[in-house]
Amino acid sequence: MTLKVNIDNLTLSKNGTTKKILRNIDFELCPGNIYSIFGLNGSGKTTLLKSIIGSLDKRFYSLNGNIYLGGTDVSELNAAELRKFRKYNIRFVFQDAITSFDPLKKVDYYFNEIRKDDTEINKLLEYFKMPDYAKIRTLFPYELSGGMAQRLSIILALLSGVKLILFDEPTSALDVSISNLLKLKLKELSQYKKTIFLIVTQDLKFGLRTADYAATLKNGVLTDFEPVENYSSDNNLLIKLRY
Amino acid sequence: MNKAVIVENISYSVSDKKILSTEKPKRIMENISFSIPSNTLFGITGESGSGKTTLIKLLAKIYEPENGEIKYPFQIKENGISKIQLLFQNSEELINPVRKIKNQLKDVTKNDKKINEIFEILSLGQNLLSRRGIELSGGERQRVALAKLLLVKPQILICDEPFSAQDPVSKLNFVEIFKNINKKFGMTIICVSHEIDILKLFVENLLVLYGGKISETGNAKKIFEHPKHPYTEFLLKAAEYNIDQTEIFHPANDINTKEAACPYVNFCRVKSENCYSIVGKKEYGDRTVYCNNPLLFIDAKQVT
Repeated sequence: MTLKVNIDNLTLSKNGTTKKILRNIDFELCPGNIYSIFGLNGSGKTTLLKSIIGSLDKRFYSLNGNIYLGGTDVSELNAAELRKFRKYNIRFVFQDAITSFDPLKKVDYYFNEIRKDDTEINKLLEYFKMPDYAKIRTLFPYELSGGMAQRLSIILALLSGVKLILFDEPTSALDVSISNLLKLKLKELSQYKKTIFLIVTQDLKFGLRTADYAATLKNGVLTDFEPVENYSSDNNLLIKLRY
Repeated sequence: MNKAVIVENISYSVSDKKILSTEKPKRIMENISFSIPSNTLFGITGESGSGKTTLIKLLAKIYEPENGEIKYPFQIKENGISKIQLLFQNSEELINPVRKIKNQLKDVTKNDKKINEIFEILSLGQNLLSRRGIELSGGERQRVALAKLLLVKPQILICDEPFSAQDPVSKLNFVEIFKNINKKFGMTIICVSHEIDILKLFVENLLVLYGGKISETGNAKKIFEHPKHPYTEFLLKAAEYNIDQTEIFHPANDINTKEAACPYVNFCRVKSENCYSIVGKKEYGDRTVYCNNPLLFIDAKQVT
């Protein structure tokens, strides 16, 4: 199944206020491409990702516009349908990886959930320099370091085989060598498995070297996605973000 | 040139706290020697687990080295206050969320003029003083925490990953702040960060750590331009996202790197047989490289 993402005139505001957190956001993501969104702190990057997967609490936020993921309008789904839809179609790698795991469940639980055979899991763990699967699966989330948790979170998302993976600051706790490996893996998967990757990041170099298309988010307004070649350097991008 | 710190042959290990544990103590730092010129901006870089944080905790006298010595040309404690101050990674937690900022800073000094002066250097508005900790943003809290440390006028300021969780624009502002503090107070600033791009902007001297040992140390500009240690070369290339998979993975080697003299030996592209048993120290003017086969200029030129 191929999945196309189509965001149509998305506007988000907090209930009881007139201030818009996201304004008229329009974009389309096609299979086999990697997209980066850059923005400074507080520009609304994470909120945009959360609104795409429908995880913002409707009691506090009102969302206008349509979010089509492969023909399904996510904003129309009820909670149970949404959960089911996400399970088969979307993965989200949270910035704070440790707290994105259930503290009472061992790592083993998550690997059992995705039902992949051990060789495939081992291969990916080894790729991300975490060779000791037997030990890792017995650990609780609080026993993981920030970098380990972030890598596990990425590995679980990649193993799931879904066609849309969203990353919120995926390199915040990673060493540069691991970030390089992540870049190479994403490029490979987008090419061969036609997965769509949407990355929001402040790591300008990672975003520019990894993505095919990039956009900037400033005060809730998103620019059009442009081929990364149009951003001549990361300094250039920095100036765009600043002024 | 005057030295702010002279580190001589220090080692540090941690042992399992369990009683009757048969595990050997784990070596984190091994025979480290270097010095930091006073009144300069000094950077320490390396990947996680390389011993960056352990090293600065040793420098700040939080840990005592197992052997070797760290020498300072000044009295470390004056009236019970250390002249070496450390800004931790989660420094904003240093600020009490319910107390007013002014009162928290008054704990350190009663002198309003001093507070104003420091606030100006850190480009913090005077209006922050009447606010409570919780009303400040993360970045503001971090700068107030830094202000608190600066009020005691330390000789050496050590910062552990001060740029994490900041956006690119705030990072640049912080770099300016470091430059200003260094210029205004003539303070030695030691900055630990894995973000080489940012260190490039301001440090004068650099120390690269790998597996608890020094790879290369000395003049930062020269190291960035022409790294002589293969690990430094790799790190600089990785920061540009220019490496391919084969450069990160090398054929598995039987010899445990922990036992080898050079911790980078399994990944090294210029290793020789003797790298497992001994590592040569080579001096090149104002830089020192711990490698048996340091990269020549022409080699380094190919990668930069």
